[in-house]
Amino acid sequence: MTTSRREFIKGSLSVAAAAGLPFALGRPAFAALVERKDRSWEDGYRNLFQGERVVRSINMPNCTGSCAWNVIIKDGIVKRVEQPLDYPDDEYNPRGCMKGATYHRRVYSPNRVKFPMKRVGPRGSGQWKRISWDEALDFIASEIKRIAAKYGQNTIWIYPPVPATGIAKQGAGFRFASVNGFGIGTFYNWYGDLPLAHPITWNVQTEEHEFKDVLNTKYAMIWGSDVAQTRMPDAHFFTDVRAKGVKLVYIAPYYDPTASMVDEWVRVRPGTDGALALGFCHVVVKRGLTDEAHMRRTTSGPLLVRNDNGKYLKAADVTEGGDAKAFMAYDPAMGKAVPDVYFSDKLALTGTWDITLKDGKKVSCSTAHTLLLKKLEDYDPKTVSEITGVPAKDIERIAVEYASAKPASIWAGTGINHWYHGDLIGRAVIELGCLTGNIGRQGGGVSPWAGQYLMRLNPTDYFFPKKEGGKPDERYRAVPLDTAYVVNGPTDTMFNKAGLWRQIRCIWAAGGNLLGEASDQSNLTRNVLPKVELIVSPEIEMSTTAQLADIVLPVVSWFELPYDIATTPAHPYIQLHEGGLEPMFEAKTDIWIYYEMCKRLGTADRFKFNRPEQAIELLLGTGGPQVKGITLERLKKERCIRVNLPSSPYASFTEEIEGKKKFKTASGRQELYKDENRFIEFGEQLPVHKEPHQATPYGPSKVWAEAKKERNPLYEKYPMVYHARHTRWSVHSSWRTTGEITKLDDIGQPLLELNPVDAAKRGIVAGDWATAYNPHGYVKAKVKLRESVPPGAVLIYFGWQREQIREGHWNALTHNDINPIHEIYFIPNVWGPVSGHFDQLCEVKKS
Amino acid sequence: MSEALWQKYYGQPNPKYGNRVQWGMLLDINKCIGCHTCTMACKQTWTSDPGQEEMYWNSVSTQPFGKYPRKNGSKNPADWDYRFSNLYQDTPKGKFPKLWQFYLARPCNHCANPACLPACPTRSIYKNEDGIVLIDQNTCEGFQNCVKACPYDKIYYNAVTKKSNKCMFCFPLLEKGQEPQCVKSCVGKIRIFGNLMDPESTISKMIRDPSLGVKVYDPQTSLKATHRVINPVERRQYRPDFGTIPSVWYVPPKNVPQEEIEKYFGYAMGGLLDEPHKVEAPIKMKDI
Ligand code: SF4
Ligand code: SF4
Ligand code: SF4
Repeated sequence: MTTSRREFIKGSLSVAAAAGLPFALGRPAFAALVERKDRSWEDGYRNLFQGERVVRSINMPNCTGSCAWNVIIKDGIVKRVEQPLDYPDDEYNPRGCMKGATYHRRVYSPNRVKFPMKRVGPRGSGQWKRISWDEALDFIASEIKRIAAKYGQNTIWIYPPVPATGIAKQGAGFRFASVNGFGIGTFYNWYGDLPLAHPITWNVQTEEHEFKDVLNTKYAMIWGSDVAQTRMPDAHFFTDVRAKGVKLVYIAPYYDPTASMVDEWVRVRPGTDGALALGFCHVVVKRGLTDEAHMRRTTSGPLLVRNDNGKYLKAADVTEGGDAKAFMAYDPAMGKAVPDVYFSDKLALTGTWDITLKDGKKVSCSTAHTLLLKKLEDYDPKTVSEITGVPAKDIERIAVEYASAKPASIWAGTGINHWYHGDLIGRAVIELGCLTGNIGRQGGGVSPWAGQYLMRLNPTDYFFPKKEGGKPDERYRAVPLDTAYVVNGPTDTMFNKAGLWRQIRCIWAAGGNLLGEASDQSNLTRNVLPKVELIVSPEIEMSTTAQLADIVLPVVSWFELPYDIATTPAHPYIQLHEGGLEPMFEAKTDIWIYYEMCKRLGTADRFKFNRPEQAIELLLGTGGPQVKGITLERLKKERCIRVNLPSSPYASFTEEIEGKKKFKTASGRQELYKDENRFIEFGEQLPVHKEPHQATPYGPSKVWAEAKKERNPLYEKYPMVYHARHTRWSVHSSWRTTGEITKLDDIGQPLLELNPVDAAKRGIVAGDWATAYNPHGYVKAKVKLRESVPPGAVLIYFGWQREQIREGHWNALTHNDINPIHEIYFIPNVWGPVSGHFDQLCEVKKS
Repeated sequence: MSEALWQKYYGQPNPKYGNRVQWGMLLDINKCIGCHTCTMACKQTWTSDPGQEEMYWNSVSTQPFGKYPRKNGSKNPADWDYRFSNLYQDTPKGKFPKLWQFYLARPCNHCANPACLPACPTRSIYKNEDGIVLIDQNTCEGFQNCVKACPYDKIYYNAVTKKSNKCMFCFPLLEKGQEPQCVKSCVGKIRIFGNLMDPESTISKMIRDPSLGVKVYDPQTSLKATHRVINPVERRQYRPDFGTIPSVWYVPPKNVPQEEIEKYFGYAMGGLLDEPHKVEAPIKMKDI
């Protein structure tokens, strides 16, 4: 700025005068005409940035984001954090929302756990005694030994951390349980994020496309996933593709933030999304828009099913000595049933034949696709409109739009998964993807992003260490017990009940705020906790769980954690986390705490590690092909490395769909038809719509033809669907007590949100205190009225800690019956009870 | 807008203040997810000192009901309520199925013809060489005339320092070759930033020719911008009827009825709107 200000102004004024003044010099512009010698105040702001040190860290809550943040440290204190804007693919820049932007507020939160504390009053009374680390660890060790001697080692139960949110740190929890033979719970299925339809159809835990693949789509249905609130770092992929002319459809009961940024919003009656999907399928079939080649080559469509018992026809049924595992299909050219050949074009997709069995008996067999088409007869647009409330002409039109756009994609969320019959809804949606040939294609697919379950490496050697001197694959293993049973109690239909069920006596809440976040809270606190003799809560802040625990241990925040690695299903990178701060107060890392515990339990030589670096090296070294070539050293340099994947942007099943390999299912195909006994018993061999288990005015858990004739007695008393939902302002309960964030959340306290019509009926106005209640429990909060909430529903954005709620708890109303379909197998976090906490009813009254 | 009008208002040095550069911003409301990452990035950088607790230089609120600050009918800033800047979040207008809402993110407009500047009795407000409107914190005496004068309510009185504070378009970052915090942090990728007076800058080209929007924003490497896509919809300004010639531009939301758009983004250069938009709030919160 060498030109003096006055000269500069003079010069420009004459130019302006020549061009004609766009706005008149009405009033004197004092400051502009005054020469300013001194603008030294500006330097005060410039100097703010001097002496700053930058560390690239990863925000690792269970929100699926896994966003990098530069921690900016000055004089040993974090001043602020900024997105580093350094993802190798610029489409992923910037990443990170306002929660990441305020994580340092949590580091310096007055709510931090500062030192080990032991409860001295009754649980939850807030009476604590400060103790030393040695006292704390010795006490826990002696209690664990006592409880294990009395009830068994496996009644010590670790509530497992979500592993990809810092694989070294969180994996240490699994390792701790393994080397000590403790019990371990589940997370992904139990809290309702596992789309069970994926293991059912594809025998995979979950498969989703990376977010960038949205850019390849020609039509996108966002189904029950409020991406604008819950997938903030990636929501722009949708708005970007929309700007380029791709139609976005949002299917949800609520006019959510996402509804306001799409081309079409479809309000569906809560819990009836499966019927809507089948209605779309019906239209696709009737209009001849089915991709038959896709169905024939890759799905269970051509496989023969015995009409006498609903089972797949196997080679062993037909020929003496035939393979009991070989599926059969019908070859029209040969005029007979033949063993299935994956990807073959020769097999009949539809048809029914009498097949001669090996004992000479003839049995009628149809292809699975024939049965599927028959099922779809029930889902004509008129009927589906009756079920879902979506106008028939819209069902017809959207189905055609979706089926005609190639590729078309479905981005599903937990909104359609947190239901007792969430598996059926998910399967119906997948059926739509299959019928239109959209599976395995970039820009297509059915992708649910929920939860940081995906580690992108094989963690077995770290989680379940090999026994030294044992047989080659002999490992230390934890004894699983699904969290659902710990919270709800066992069921008669539980998988291997005799072998797995035991009453838990010690809870080590490693995976977060179990007692604050569990659905079926009422049962947990009333019936389960009194039987639990020791609750250990390693925590950063005084969460609800910490408040109700017997021992609270101070754990470092991410910024005090030396290193870790993090991954997510949302993007394809493995990233190194670095903290940059020294531990505050007496906080310790999780891995140190576990190691010290193991020392006291005599298992330290098995656990081995007390620093994350060693763990990271083991994880990367034994992690398998996805992380081949990626080392800690490389990560320290590059920070963010794309893992090895077969496609970019990553899309699921691209190789299967090209016939290069089979699906991982028993048949090697996408199994739209299932023949396990329990599917047959419940009439769920194929995707069907069943009314919600609780949240319906009609016959609960019945197919429409029966359901519509009945009334749900529970509904007569509790006619409101109760939804405690994710908000943009928290990741579950994380950030809920961060003042700067809560302040932006309306009036900064829990709100029961209602449609004005429902409020008027109950004499409630906005701002009133009201209670939502049902037989399980209640919550009291202020009322907010919004047209966004459909009549007949109550919404509460969740995550509030105990002390923030006036009375009751937002999870006191949720109660999950366990669906026996979810218990056919038990593979922790892959096949197990999926929480149905959206499937709830309540009534609301002014209070 | 026509090229002639653009030239008249933006294509020449500011006739009053002489700046030959005018930094400006373009926000695509269709892409805003209401996340407040911008708000927090700004706040963590500039306004986390005592006296700034309820001060959001960049604010975001759900329209039509979200108001920040809420003036409660008073002209006196002392009566204005800055608490709960995001009250009525996600509260749409209309009846099912015709509902609408949108998020309105607002930094200071760094107006070409600022209302705040001449209102200052101590002459502490000035427009710098880059068109940024600043308050000299050494000479400001806290008269708050500017707070009243700014029709956008984008000047905030700091009761602790007894001076008025406002958005600085992050000038220290611009000097370091970075975009302002609210622009570079915007995770919805809705914002682009640049020099309105440079006919070749991305922002001035994109404002003049809305069809350029569907192409990925070509980053102005001097500011290390990331790639962004903007909807090809006519660009407008928020409340141009105030007559201050704001430097912040918007892509109005496609999902909002046209008559509502006109209330917010009435087409200034094609004829000023004189009726300020009144927002009534039928859903009243008691006792907050
Ligand atoms: S928006 Fe207000 S504070 Fe900013 S320059 Fe314009 S008049 Fe001044
Ligand atoms: S430009 Fe800078 S100071 Fe202004 S609102 Fe944005 S972040 Fe805040
Ligand atoms: S960061 Fe961007 S998308 Fe988020 S509220 Fe601000 S302007 Fe909108």
